[in-house]
This record gives sequence, structure tokens and C-alpha cells, in this order.
Amino acid sequence: MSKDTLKDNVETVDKEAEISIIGNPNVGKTSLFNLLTGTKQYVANWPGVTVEKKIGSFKYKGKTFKLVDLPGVYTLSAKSEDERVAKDYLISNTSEIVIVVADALNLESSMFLLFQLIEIGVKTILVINSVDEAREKGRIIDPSPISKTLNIPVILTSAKTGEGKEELLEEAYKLSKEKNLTKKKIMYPEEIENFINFFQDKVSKFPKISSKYQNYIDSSWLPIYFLEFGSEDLELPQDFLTELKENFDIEDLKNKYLNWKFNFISYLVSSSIIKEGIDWSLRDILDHVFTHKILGILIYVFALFAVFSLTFSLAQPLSDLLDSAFTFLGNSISEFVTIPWLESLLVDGVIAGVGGVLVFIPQIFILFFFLGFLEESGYLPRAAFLVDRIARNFGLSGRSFMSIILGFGCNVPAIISTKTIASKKERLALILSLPFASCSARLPVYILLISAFFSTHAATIMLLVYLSSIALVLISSKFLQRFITQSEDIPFIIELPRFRLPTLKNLSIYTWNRGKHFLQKAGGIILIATVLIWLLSFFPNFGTDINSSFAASIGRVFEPLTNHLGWDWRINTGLIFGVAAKEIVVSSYATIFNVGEGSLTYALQNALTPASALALIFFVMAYIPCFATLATIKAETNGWRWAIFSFIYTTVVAYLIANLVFFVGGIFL
Amino acid sequence: MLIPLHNLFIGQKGKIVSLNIEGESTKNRLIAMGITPGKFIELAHVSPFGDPLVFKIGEKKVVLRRSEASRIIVDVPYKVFNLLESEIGKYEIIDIKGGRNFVEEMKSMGLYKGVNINLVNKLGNRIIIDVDGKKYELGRGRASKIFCKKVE
Repeated sequence: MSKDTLKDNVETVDKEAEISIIGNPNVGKTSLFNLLTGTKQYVANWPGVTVEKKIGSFKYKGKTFKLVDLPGVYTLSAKSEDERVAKDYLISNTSEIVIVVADALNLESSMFLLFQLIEIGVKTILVINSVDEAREKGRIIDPSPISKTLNIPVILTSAKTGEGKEELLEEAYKLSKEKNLTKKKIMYPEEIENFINFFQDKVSKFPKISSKYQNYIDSSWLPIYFLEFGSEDLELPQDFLTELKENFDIEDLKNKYLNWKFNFISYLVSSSIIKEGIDWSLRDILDHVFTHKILGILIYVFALFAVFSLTFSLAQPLSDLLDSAFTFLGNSISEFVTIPWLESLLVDGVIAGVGGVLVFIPQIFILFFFLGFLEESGYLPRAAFLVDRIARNFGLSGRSFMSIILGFGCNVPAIISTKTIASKKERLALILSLPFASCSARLPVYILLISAFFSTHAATIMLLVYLSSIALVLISSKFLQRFITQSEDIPFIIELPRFRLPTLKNLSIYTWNRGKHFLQKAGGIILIATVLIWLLSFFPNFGTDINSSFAASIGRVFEPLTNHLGWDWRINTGLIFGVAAKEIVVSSYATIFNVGEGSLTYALQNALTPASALALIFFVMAYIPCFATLATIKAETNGWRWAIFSFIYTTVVAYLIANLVFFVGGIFL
Repeated sequence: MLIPLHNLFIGQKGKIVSLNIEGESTKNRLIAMGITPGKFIELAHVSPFGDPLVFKIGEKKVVLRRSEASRIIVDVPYKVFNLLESEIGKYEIIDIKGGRNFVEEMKSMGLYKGVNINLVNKLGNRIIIDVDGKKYELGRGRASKIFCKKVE
């Protein structure tokens, strides 16, 4: 027996079963996922795309199940990244089990998706979630009509109370033991059946058809796939298509098929719902308030303000605490380690780097907590609905506003918060434009320069900087969207879900997972980059003189580009250090000019003219995002490509602005 | 009467007739969300900035922008106008939108839901109506808050 077959045999014996969860957005898919896996889950990305992939695992009767959370979608036939990821995954994993999650109070909506899965021919379980809530409202559901008609297990659950969990596990276990799926034949109307037969008949004469799909799917699904998804993916031969078109009116057939399906679904749902129990009154009143001209906007502003101020004000003391803990640690190490280079590497490189990562922890976790609250409670789509009209002027949708506001606190959480934007094109443009939002770390640099040069017009300059920053974010996202062609426009079509009170358990899992994901994805890069900057400042003369370090040499290299702006190598070198974190610019200048921070003002006044100082302020506003932001861009776009683009793009934009400001400023100053 | 979806008035229901949406992907998504011909759809809320709109369909609320809604055709028993956009003719009041004071004031003039009125004349910013033989003059602001349907 060869090694490979042995391995195969072992795998079939105790191979873990893979289950995927799919459902419309807002049906409680995440809660069900949490119910099944608890904290045994992690977040990753689907290969090649920015769509998030959540994976968890659980054990039942000694068998290990791997649980994959598919993106929330309404159909597999639309073409956004989410839907494509879900479709490709399902088509290539037909042997495994799929749980379709439906909302007991919005049952019909999920049936379309359920039907698509049954037609594909995967082992399907329908979970009707939130039955406790439905019962409270007086709705009674009988799962047997759906279960009998479609020949699938249908389970009523409540992710909140845990009801139905055992039953679901049992059904999944049973299905995982089953070798072959006994697919129940769906009886289509005659015309459709004729088409299916004709199609299958012809297909057998074209052996090379659908080389991409024939490995996975049941051939009886192919004609339906053709009707519903179109022929693009199937790579059908031209003469085959012509023959189909000669015999059938495809467009008409497609409409007939869809109509039949909807009637079937309506019938199925109405025979399952024994008592309606739908009451709009409370929801309407709440929505009336939340979307009201005055009240709605007040609540919106309040919510934004709360998230912004809580994220940064609650986090600040904790970050400061961490910061001083690391300073203390650094000082203690300085006393113990007497080898100068090692001491410098440990204190200025490693500890500063680790500290640089860890000070983000409070912010990130607090942000995720509030973001999770807004998302799970159902407020986020309402907020997006309110301001969509305004955001649209800049090619954005209502979802973007909150991210931009957050960007003025810190770019890192702002970029992470773009997760909730459905259009990938809009999201990418926004991610690349958010670094222009003037974060709080840039403030010390502005303050230093403004107090040195423009103390009489401090407020005006500050206002100008912030207004330019807002304008730059908006213009940039509009501008970039013209060039991002990688994914198509997705119209702003969202559902306003019912309001729910998020549970602390779900919020904690959400916060913990996302926070962990950020640390794993971005932490290493921030640390390495900080050590790199340390290397540049320490070598080649072992930290004895920063003015002859590599960093200073790089600053000198750029002098020809910056001389006309009135920046010598010292200014440039400070900016290079600022790439680690913007607030470092101030302390770097103190080191480079070899003065204390108190007399730095005087030193700068000697080194810069007012116009070059103004140009420097605007350059700092726009130039290269800090390492943490770059690392976040890399994590969120799933690759180096856009992080590198951002590095270059912001530098070019900042340089152009600095030149413009220097030129215009030169006239007035 | 066939009208585009975005012309519904708040609280009005229409039966979807067709989706004239160009992009196949968008159309598929709308269909999957249950926005299909034959179903009833109701305009529930309008954003403070006039766009997008929230519709009730089946058991859910869906947000659509005007640009998409305008391509969805619905059948309604009658079209609703506000008095400002109405031509001279006979109308029945469907609803009066406004604060309690405004509604009370209109009621004192005999203007409330279900009443038949006659739009006699439009003179620039003034709209002259006839209610039970009494004539009233309404400004633009007030006229735009009174919704009515044509009486044949």
C-alpha cells in the first residue's frame, strides 16, 4: 500500500465533517454560529478577496465538526464578491452539509436561497431561528410542510435560549454519516421539464461542456443553473447555445421558472405559518423616530459622538497606562543591560515596538464593542439610510460617514470600521482615502509648528488644516473610485432589520475575535517596522550620533526634492521617523536639532520660513500613514498591494499639497 | 394606474408590475429579497434628505434609492398628489401631514381625511380651494402638506 492511499484511508475514518452556515443578512446567523462553537472560532479572509471568513469547530458524539460561516447573502445569483465566494464554496463542496438559517419572523425571505441550495444538490438543513421571539409575537410555525415537501430536516431554534441546539446537532450528525444524498426530485412545470430534458440530452453529446463545473455538480442542476445564473460561467460551446435559443425562448422561460418558484415558495411558507402574529406598530413608531427629520438626526449625531468620544476617551487612560508601563519596563531594562547596542535594541526597538502595538488594544477593543452593538441592534443600517443622500455626492453611501468621523480620532479603527460597507469598490476607495483624515497623533506636530510660527492665527490655521483634511478624504474617495474597476457597482439596497438587544455574550465574542484578528494581522508588521526604524537611527555609528545615521543619510538624499520648500535634511529625517507614528515627529526634531522640547520652537524658527512651516504642516496632514495604519490596510485588503499603493499615493498627494501651500503661502506670508 | 415606485406616497400600497432594472445582478438581488411582480409594496419612510426611501414588503423593510425605485413599476388604484402639484379640479383628501396644531387647524376649516374639495384656482403662491361652498386660500407650505386623489 502506498503512502498516499494509507493517508486517504486514515482520513476517511476520522475525518472531521465540514458544515457551512449560510443565510440572509440579519437572520441571527452569527448568534447561531456562536451558540454552536462558543469561543472556539477565528476570523480570516477568503483567499484572494476581502470577504471575511469565520471558522469555528465543535464536537458532538466524539465527532469533530468544522463550521464555516459564509457571507450573508440573499441569493447566489448576484455577482458581488460575497455572493461569488458563497457560490463557489458551495459548488465545490457538495458532499458537505449546509445549514440555511432563516428568521422565524421573516421566513419567506430565506426560502429563495434555500431553494437554490436544494437545487444544487447539497445536504441541507433549514434552521428557523428566533422562534422564541416569534412565539412572543404570537406567530406559530409548523416545520413539517417544508420538511416533507423538500425532504430536508427543518429545525426551530433560538440562538438566544439555546432551544433546538441538540436537535440540530443530532441532524447534522446523522447527515454527516450519510454517504449519498437521496435528492428528492423537484417537479417543475412541464415547459421547464421539457427544457431540462432537452438540455441534458444535448449535454451528453458535448462531452467537454462545463469542464469547470461538471466535477462537482449534479448534471440535473446544470439546466436550472443556466436559467437562473446565465451561461457566463458555464463556458458552453456556441453551437450548443444557438441550438438552445432556436428551441426555447430563454428569457421567457427564465421568467416562468422564477414565477413558478415564487408561487411554490409562497405556498410552502403559508402552509407552514399557522398563525401570522406580525405586528408593525412598534417597529413603525421606532423607525419613525429614528428616521425623523429632527429627532432622527439628533440621535444619529449623538450615536456618532458617543462612539467617537467613548472609543477615544475610554481608551486614552488605558493606552496611557500601557504606555507608562512600557516606559517603566524600558527604564528597568536600561539599568540591567549594560551593553549599549543591546540596551538600545531592546528599549528603543523591541519594547517601543511592542508598546506601539499594545497601545492600540484598548481603542480597538472598545471600538469593536460599540460597533458590534450598533450592528447587532440594527441601528447601523438606519444610520446609513439617514445620511446616504449627503454621502452620495462623493460617490459614497451612508455607511461611510461613521468611518470618516472615526478617522479623525485614529485611522486604524476607522479603516477597520469599513467592514460594514457592502460595496467593495466604495470600501476600497474609502480605506485608501481614510489616512487623509487628520488623526489625533498629528495634532502635536501642528501645535508645535503653529505655536512656533503662527501663534496669532493659530485657530485659523488649525481650521484650514482640518477642513482640507475632510475635503481630501471626500475628494480622494470620489477620485479613486473612477479607477477601481476590480468589482462592479453594487446599488445601495439594504434591509432594515428588526431591533434587537444585543447579548453581552455575542458582543464579547465579536469584540474578542476582531481584536485578536487585528493583533495577529497587524501586530507583527508594526513591531518589525519599529525595529527597522530603530536600525536606521542606530547604524552605522551605533547610536552615538543621529546626525550621521542611515536615517539622516536618507533625509539628505531627499534634500534635492525638498530644498525649494525650505526643508533641509533635518526636517526630512524627522518626517521619516514620523512614519512609525506621527507624534514621533516632535520628539525626533528635539533629538535631531539637539535641543530640549522647550527650545525646539526657537530652533525651528531658525530652520524654517513661515511658508515652509505651513507647507510642512499640510505635508504632515497628508503624508504616509503610520505603520499601524499601513498594517491595517494590508490586513483589511488582504494583501500588500494596496498598502504599498497607499504609501506612494499619500506621499505624492502630500508632496503636491505641500508645494501648493508653499507657493500660495509664499504670496501671503 | 401604473406609476414608478418612488411616486408612492407614505402609507400607500402598490402592486409590483415589473422591474425594469438593467443590471442582471441588481435585478437578481431584488428578486431574491422578495421584490417580485405580483407582490404588494408600501412606502414606509423617507430619509430626511428626501432620498433613499424605506419600503415595506412582506415581512420586512427594505431601503431603496430613488434611482432604483424609479425603475420599479407598481399598480395603484389612484395617484396621490399634494395640493401644490395638483391641477384645477375635484379632489378627495387622503391625508394631512403635519404637526398636531396644523392638523387641528385644518380640521377647523373642514379639511380632513375623506373630505371632497374643489381646487378652484392657482394664483402664483396661493391655492384657492372650495370646501362645502366656503372658499379658502392656502400658501405653498400648507398646500404641500395636504395629500389628495382626483375625483372623477
